[in-house]
Amino acid sequence: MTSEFVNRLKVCRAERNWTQADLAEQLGVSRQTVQALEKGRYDPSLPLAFRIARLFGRPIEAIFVQ
Amino acid sequence: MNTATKAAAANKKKMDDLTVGLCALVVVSSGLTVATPFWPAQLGNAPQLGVVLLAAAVAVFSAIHSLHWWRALDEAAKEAHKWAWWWGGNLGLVVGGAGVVAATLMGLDVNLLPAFVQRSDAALVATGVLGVFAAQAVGYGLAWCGWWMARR
Repeated sequence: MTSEFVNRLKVCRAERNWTQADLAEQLGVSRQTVQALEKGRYDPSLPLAFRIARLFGRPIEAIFVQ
Repeated sequence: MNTATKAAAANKKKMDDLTVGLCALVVVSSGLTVATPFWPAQLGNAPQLGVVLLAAAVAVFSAIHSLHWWRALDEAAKEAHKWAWWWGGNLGLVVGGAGVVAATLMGLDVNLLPAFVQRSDAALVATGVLGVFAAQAVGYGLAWCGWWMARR
């Protein structure tokens, strides 16, 4: 169930002092989805990965690391 | 408000409008007490036109509402439903179907028919089909919960 990627989503969110609910609202997804993403138990689609990268102003590879 | 939030708000408004429309139709339909025209004689007495209109409207409303509901889900939620539909629904179908077949082969006479339904072959077959649907629904629900539990 664990993803083959490591992601820095939780770190990026913490840097902005956002809650999971804040991030979920910004991304247009549910809080449960953010939780699954942060725990690496769900891999986002490419469009969602791009939305995440754009939101944090970083390239995708800076957030999702193989 | 970002694009995703705007889309979700627009979707919610469409669902709200549909609900208001359906409520208005309930009021209008309740006044249409005339018999439904062109009703096939072999189906028995024609029901009230309002009832037929309302039933058709509920079917259309359910379809459109389901579409908007599905579009409003995020990708993980859709994935959970698709996974549950395939694995939970199919396993439920297999288990429920096996249960019905086993009950038939063993000659179990379990009467699950409600009191107001007359016992007949058709009623028993319908009960079996509904039993399998129920097993599918249970499988679906369990699989859906399992998908999310595994990702907590």
